[in-house]
Amino acid sequence: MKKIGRIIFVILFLFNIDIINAQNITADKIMEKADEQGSSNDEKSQMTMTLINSKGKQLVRKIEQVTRQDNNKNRSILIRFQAPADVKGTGFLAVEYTDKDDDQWLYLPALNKTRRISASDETDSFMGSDFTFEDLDREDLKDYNYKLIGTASYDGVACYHIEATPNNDKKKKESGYSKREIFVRKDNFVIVHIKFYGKDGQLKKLYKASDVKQVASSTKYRAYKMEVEELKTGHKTVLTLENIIINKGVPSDLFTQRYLERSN
Amino acid sequence: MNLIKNIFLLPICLYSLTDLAQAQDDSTSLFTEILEEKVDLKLGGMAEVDHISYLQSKSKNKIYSRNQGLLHLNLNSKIGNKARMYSQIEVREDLSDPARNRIFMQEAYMDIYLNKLDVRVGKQVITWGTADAINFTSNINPYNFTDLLDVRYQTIGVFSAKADYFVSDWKFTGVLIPVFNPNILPASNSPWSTPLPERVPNPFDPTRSFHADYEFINPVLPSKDINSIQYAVKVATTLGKVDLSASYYNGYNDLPVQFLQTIIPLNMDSVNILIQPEYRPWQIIGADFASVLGKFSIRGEAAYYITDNSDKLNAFNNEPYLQYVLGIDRRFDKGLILLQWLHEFTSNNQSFSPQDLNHIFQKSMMARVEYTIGDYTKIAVKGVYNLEAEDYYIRPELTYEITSGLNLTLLADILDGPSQGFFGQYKDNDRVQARLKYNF
Repeated sequence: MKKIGRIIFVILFLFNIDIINAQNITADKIMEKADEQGSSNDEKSQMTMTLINSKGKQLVRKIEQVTRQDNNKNRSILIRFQAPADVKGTGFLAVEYTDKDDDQWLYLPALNKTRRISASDETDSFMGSDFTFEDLDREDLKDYNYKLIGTASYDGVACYHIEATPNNDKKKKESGYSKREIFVRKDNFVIVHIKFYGKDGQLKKLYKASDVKQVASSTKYRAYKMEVEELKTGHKTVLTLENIIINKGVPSDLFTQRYLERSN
Repeated sequence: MNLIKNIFLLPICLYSLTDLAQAQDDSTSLFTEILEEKVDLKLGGMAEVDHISYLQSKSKNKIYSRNQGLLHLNLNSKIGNKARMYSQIEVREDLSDPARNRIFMQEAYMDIYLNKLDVRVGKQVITWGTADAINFTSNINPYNFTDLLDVRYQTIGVFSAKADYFVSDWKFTGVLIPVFNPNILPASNSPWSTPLPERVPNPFDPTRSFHADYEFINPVLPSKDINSIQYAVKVATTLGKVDLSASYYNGYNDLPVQFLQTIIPLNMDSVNILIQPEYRPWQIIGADFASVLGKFSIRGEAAYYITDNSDKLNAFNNEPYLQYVLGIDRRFDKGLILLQWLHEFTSNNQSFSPQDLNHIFQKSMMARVEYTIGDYTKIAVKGVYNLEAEDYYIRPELTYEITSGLNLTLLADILDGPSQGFFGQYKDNDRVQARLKYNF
């Protein structure tokens, strides 16, 4: 089961590049390429999350994150909260297994204690933001039907316009969405826009990505700014990323309770 | 030092410190520290203004309010991934009770990280156990019990050396505490100080009683040498989806046993009673676990207290006893529900004084419910019900995040039940509290 804390994979998944011949390409192939390019052995970044309510009031959260994939495709994630000060030092460690339930621990510096915690629901909000864990989860392509609707221009850039719907009962039940419209850039296969439709079929959320650029010393492209807006409430979450480093090597012992407790 | 003046100067200082900390944050990261031997100095902490009003004030000799300014200054210095220094200083001024004013070093320690060994030396807080709030296996540090309900800064750092050795999925911990530190108990003017009975029975005539005056003799403390060294060991591992640990502590009960020394008749109607507190050695064997069951987190811990009753002089019960706690919680999108069962087994069906802080939860259910409204408001209710004495404690709490790092909290403490119970004896101590806290 894939769960929490995979922000990095969102970035990987949503903002990929590939130099392929775009002609006669199918929706499945587009999503497959995006997913394939989204994989990395390890990745690090710093992220600022700004929550903005309908009146424009803002709350800012800052985190650092590092991920690593082992030879068995198990992924480990370590997240540390940097701001605000009352949660600074809080650490989160997750190991996502391909063949069993994830392990997750939370380190709370105020209590000087590490706790094993249960996984969240797919539809739960991540850190109080407009992103759900489902949004941040690496998408299992087998769980969806993809349909190429056509091409469209988004933010002045040519995109593939794809419709994604869950194709099995389990996913239909777990997911918070009945359908998504996904806009994938033709030039680099980065997803720059998503329309999320709720279970009632109504447009629920909008995702917009910008500031797409190539990561230094890497062939990967990433969006350095992302935004999700909840249409009903007018609530918005803006993510900005900095210092992204990809495939430069991360030691495995980083993903242990021993290191988690060094969050101070 | 004029603490009030300093409190007023706080905002200016805090903004400066925040700027400094921010500037340092920008230059450091999780990842550079892994790769580089980089010195990283950070300042942080919190400032808080705190008011408490008790709803009743029955005694003229007690202080039924708290008007407190509190500052914690934290200095954190990392040297690459090899070493770290940390210290926290507390500055506190209470306008209602100047005796509580203090400048105090809460923690000051150094970490050294070796290949498979982490060492921490200095004044530190060592927390063991997996349960929420009540950890029977955590017995290394003394506690500040001057306010029995405001437990946020209750644990007192203790000078000690701790070593953690890591082998595969196993962690072996050893702790040495060379100097004994007792708990801090409520002063006589505190609403949490419980009076001794004004009258004691006449042993020769059960129909009559004496008026009692009490006098406390200097407490008997453990010697300040190697003979009173305290130590603890712990082994922890993960088996499948279960985190497990077992621990052993050999040291002293941080709460004194009150020995009745002498009763001196003053006249036909009064006696003078001399009491001498004494800190007794004990050993504690502990174990804990934590796991998940579907969407639920489950945890538990137990501690067996081997008390020293060799001389049988103890006026109160002092037989070994076992305490355990079992807990389960479920997190939701906006909230949390947590339940814990706390239970104590004693030999010979001992009963304990309600004032005995080692035996608060004899057969209790604890609950905590939290719910977040929007981005800024969190409401919580927590409570304990003791099935043994049928007394209880409830705390409704509302926290509003004014801006990032600045929180306003309003809460009430409600206690009730028979006075034979721990919470029931304080049923006149219902109170409301407001605090404004800024973390930087």
